[in-house]
Amino acid sequence: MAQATFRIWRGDQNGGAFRDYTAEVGEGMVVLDCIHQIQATQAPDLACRWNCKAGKCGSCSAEINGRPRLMCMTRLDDRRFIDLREPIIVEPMRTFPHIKDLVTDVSWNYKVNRMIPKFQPRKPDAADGTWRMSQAEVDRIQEFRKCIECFLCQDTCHVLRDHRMMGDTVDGELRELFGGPRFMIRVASLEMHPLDIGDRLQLLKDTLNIGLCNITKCCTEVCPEHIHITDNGIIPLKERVVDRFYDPLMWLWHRIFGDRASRESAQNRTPLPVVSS
Amino acid sequence: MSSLTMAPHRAGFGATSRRDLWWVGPLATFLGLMAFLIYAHAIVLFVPGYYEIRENPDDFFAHGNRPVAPYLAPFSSPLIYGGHSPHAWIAKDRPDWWPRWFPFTSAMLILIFPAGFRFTCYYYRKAYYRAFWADPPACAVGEPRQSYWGENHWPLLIQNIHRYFMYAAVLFLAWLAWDALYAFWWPTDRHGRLLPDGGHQIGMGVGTILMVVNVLCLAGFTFGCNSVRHLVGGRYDCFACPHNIQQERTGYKLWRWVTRFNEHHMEWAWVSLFTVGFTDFYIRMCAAGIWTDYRIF
Repeated sequence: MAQATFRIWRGDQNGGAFRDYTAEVGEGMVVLDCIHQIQATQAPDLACRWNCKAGKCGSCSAEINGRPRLMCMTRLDDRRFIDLREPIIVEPMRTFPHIKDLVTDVSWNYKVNRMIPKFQPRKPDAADGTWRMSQAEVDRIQEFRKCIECFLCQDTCHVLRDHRMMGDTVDGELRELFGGPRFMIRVASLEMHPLDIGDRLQLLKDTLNIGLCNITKCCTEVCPEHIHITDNGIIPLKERVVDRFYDPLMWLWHRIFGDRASRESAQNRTPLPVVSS
Repeated sequence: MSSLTMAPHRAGFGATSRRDLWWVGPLATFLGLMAFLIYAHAIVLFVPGYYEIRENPDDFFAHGNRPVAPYLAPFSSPLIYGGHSPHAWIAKDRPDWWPRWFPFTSAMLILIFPAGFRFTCYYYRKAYYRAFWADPPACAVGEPRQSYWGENHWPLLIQNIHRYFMYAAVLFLAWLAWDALYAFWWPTDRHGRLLPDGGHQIGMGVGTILMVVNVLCLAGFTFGCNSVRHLVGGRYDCFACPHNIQQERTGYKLWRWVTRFNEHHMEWAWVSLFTVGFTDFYIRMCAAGIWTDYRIF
């Protein structure tokens, strides 16, 4: 078995430093395997968050050789990220408050999440209280539902990472709030939902500050679920914000012709078949 | 929200733990866009003629110097002021109101529209924010500045105008398509002799192929635009309201069609940037007599 050196950030809120550990590397192993091996053999107090080891729980987010990655989905034979001849640097996500070693406090994200009004379905389409959706509409929002909340996109977003725009006081200075890619995607999943009648565009523009995103697409690059965060989520939302707040022609169009959805809902509908139980 | 205690953070321009060649992408983007910008500025500011191939390449503006090919360099299309060119809207070389001391090219009047379309394009924004402004230079790499306004404040709030430049770009595309069609309508025979009585015949040269390919690439870029995608269908929550049980609505079909181009918007952006630049360069080099266009039939 080959050996690899892991340079792991050790420390807590009072400070820390990189320490080197050696681990045995076998075929098919991922970074999280080696972290567990180091925990078992050399550093039982090494803190790391993990759960499923299958890329579905979003717990083991870290920065591996400077790239925001899931430790459980980063194979040691993946030459894009790993070169076993050099120490493999494993750090906690740098955007969030540090707790210990590889563990960070991601609770800020849950506070942002609570700002978003929940799903508000329209009245049922059929007398039995059910709705109808086309597959195309389901497909579009289904992509956003794949999010596992690993917060790697939040970690790599430079608005949060470098400019600390978390609606908070950082280094004595009050920063604007940027919701971040994860919550742009959550809003997209609700705003584009064919049944939802909620309106989150004002929130998106003035509270979550979608305009702070300058679409440099790092969020899309790091997403382990390969969600097209920018192209399918943030940019379409930006266009909707332009419709509402910046485009005089669209404003005029809506003034003259009204909103399409409300216009069509006012039309007489063909009665739908009732689903019997 | 309370104040945050952050983990030790690598600050400063280029600070990162990344070991890959993260700077290659932004550098290549910088060089590619700079090459185009330098060429475009040189043409717009310093090359008043040579937008079409005329009999005498040494004295482009000479009276009676007639065009011998139907091409029009795309940077000069539409040709608002073009003297006796068949492409000209106004039969003068420059407007009367233009200051005499200031150089004039017809391209100065029009290039703001395609330039604005690309400047406000969502892909190019990513490209130049990274390559020119280093905001960020690459993912998880430190930036040179602490301050940041994003597109939430002036001046970058202007990026929201993108769809209006898109409307202009569609008109320009139609115009360039007409130019490409006109590039089959030759004032000369296949040996380069002017046809009698100002006649024309069907023909094709290498420049014709370049102009057609250029239009196709520009169409791939324009119709993959995120604003087009939004306007044709993306703005709807329901593709098949009211009951959402059909998918036959035109908006959905168009949205799917535009999405296919949009998925490769970056590739279309670069390919079309190259084709428009090279087509222009080719025609101007032929117009200057440095290159000779090959007539196929």
